[in-house]
Amino acid sequence: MDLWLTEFSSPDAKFSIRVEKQLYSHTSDFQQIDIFQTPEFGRVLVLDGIVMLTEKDEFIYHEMMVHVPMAVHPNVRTVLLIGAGDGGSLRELCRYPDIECIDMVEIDREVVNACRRFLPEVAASFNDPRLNLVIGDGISFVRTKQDEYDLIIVDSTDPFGPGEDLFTREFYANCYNALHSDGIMTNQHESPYYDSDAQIVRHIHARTTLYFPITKVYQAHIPTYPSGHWLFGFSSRKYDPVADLRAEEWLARGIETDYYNIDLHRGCFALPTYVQQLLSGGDV
Amino acid sequence: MPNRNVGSRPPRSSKFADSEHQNGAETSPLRRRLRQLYMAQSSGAPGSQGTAQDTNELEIGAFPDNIEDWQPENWLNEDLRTAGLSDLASSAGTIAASRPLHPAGRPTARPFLRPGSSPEISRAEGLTQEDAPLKDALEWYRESRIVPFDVPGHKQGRGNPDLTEFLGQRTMSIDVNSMPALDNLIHPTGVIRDAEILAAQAFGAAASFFMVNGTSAAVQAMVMTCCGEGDKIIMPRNVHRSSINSLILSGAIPVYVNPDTDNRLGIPLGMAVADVRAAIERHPDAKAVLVNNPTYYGVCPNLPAIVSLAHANDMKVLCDEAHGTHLYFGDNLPINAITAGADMASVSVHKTGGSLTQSSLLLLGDDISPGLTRQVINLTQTTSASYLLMASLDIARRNLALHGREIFARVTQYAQYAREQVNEIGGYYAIGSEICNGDSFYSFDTTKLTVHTRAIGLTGIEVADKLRLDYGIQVEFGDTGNFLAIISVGDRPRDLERLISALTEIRRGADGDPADMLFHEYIEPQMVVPPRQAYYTNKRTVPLDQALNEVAGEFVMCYPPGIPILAPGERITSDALDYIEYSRARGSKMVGTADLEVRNIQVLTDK
Ligand SMILES: Cc1ncc(COP(=O)(O)O)c(C=O)c1O
Repeated sequence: MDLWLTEFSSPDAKFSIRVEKQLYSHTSDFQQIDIFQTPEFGRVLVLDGIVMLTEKDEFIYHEMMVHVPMAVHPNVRTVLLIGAGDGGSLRELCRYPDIECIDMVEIDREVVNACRRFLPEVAASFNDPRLNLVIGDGISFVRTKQDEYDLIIVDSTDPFGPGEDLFTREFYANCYNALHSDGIMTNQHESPYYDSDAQIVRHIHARTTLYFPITKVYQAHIPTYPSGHWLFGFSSRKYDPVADLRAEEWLARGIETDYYNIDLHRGCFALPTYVQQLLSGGDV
Repeated sequence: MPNRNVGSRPPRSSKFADSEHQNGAETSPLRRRLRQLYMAQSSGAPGSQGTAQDTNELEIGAFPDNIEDWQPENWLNEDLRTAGLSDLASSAGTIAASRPLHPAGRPTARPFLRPGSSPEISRAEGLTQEDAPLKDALEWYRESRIVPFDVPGHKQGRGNPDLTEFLGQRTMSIDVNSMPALDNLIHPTGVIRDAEILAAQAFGAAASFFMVNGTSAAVQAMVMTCCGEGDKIIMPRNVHRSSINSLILSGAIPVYVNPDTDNRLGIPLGMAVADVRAAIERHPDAKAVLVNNPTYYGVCPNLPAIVSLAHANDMKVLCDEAHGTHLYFGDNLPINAITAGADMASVSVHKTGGSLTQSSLLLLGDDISPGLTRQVINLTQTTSASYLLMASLDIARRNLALHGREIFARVTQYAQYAREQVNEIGGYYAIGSEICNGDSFYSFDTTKLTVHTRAIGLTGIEVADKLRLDYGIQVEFGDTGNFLAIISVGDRPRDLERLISALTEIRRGADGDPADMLFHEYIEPQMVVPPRQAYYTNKRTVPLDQALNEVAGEFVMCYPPGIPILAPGERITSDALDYIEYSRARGSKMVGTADLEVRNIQVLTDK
């Protein structure tokens, strides 16, 4: 049997993964959730037909989402995690003992349940006592918060479907307000390569720049995302991600990572010319 | 069960008895089939064209089964007479006698006959609210692959590839002309008639008319049906321009009743019952009373009281229900016009009912002649009514009839949630039933999200503009003190969350100083000459800012809502001019004058 999971990167290019078997399939109130066993990437979580993570390369995304801001902010106590139902970002956060409280808002309970069942390595920290898991709408949760968080991580799906609201201007504005004055927001920033994704990259950057005086974009290589070239946003009122990097302090924590390291932290903000150009021209 | 019975068969012609009141009669499937043969294939008029030759071919091609059993002479007439249609019976009988039909006995089984119908089942036999006869007919048309040597010239899209690519082949292939099997809106005897009857039943009306030129045409048809030249009509002045246009068309003379105004919000409400009574007493010769139900803002007057007052004085009640489609289907909503006993109602199914823009329904109560109404409609109606629009009405009606209750329960719940959240932000006031006053604001349409913004120091226009320009959110309209968000069958909770989040953010940036903000939405009109007379009087053009005290020869209004600030024949007061400048300065879109910039206005030369 020759079974392939195919995702279109653009209307004219596609990426396929051979599937051994399907482990789970369920239509929740929000989306279609599938989990496959694959020979190359291990288990793969797919939402509405789009690959969200694979066991083999999820560490890249989650480490970059979490350790970059954690190595800059001197004193993260309260964190808001938006989306991230698979638990990967949560797992990375829980490696910092001085974090006191993690509010996590995920819209789809079924994603959490499926990941706990089939992706236990990723969904490893749902029992952490610091976690306050809220099943609900991120945009509505954050709107009611004022000056409460040191770090907000926007770990959303793509901007089509239930994740759409987490790319809007009003959402970023409300995140800005929910942060302490020295807070940091990191967000999933899509890929600069294929045209339709690139348009979204521009919008995200233009919208976050409206509110945060410091808005930097960094990159990572994630093999199973379209084009493999992925961007993240770093926004703050106070900290520059490179100039304010606390390398010694972070190293002293002794956190072992497979992708992230201090050199990479300095380098990942250096963007290709075409990406720089892309970011400079966006409409809100 | 939706009707899947399409395939290669031609659509049925009307399944309903041919009475003007479009109700009641039972028909048999056999009569239906026969009528199909006579009417659908012969331009709708029994016996007008069909020869034995061509109908015979049709029989063979179109009815491969069952047809052998027909024995027409006796039962046909009997059926039609049972249905109270002896005229049709005799004419149909004549044709039947001359037609070569199969001689076997009359079949006894009537499988589709369902006497004692439940509410779900249409009063006429055969069709229920689960059917969509016009849709089925178009589906049949699409599948029949007819070769079109008629208009429209795009010929199922082939003649306009760019448009076809843009709209899709499926859409283009049903953009057709009124061929016999698809009936004709100006004289419906087949599937359009069926669809109209189902709509009438779904809305509880005695008859309904599909309108393809918006509720504007429906409003005009109401007034022109009930009022002629010089007849008086009692109405509030905060009506849509279509109502005043109908005065120009009909020559009716408005007797304006000032609507109450809510002092806190500055919005015009409905007519108070006492004011209607006073107007009726002063003008006992008036022919009709026209009422908004609800207004754009969601304000409903005491309609039952107004209806009984009017009827007691031999006046018809006409309702502009452009914003009231859902009142016919939802629970715990203000009473709709037909239930309240009104004589005619214009319902914008396209606004809150889910049909395509420009499609609308005109509903009739028991005491208005549908025949007359159709003649009035046909004065201005196109002879090429769009099947896209009509099919959208048919399908929207089915959806509303089958699911309207749940849909509007959900819509009400969304609106309620949004109201609570908006009120929690602070500064804004999302209007709720608490401000009803038992009379001019008798009940509130709780599906409306009407938000008063003045307390945050921004006009509704400004908030609406910010929402659109900064957040990509389009609301229905903003005026000097409020904006209105339409919540309807198509909304999703997450879109509401975006609206609420954006309002939260706008609130943060607003200075909250309501000082020197204009405070009313209603300007009392001073009618100098009636609209039609003003329309036909000689005019000259003057700059708007020099028009004080002249008599307006044309409209000025913000659009939306399209409620005239000045109408033809009205004195141009300083209040009106101030309001226009104020709204314009805050970004309201002014329309109405021949001058597209709305800097000049035509005024009457001989006032
Ligand atoms: C109160 C009222 N009546 C009538 C109309 C006319 O409806 P349509 O635009 O469908 O012609 C409108 C439309 O805005 C309206 O608001």
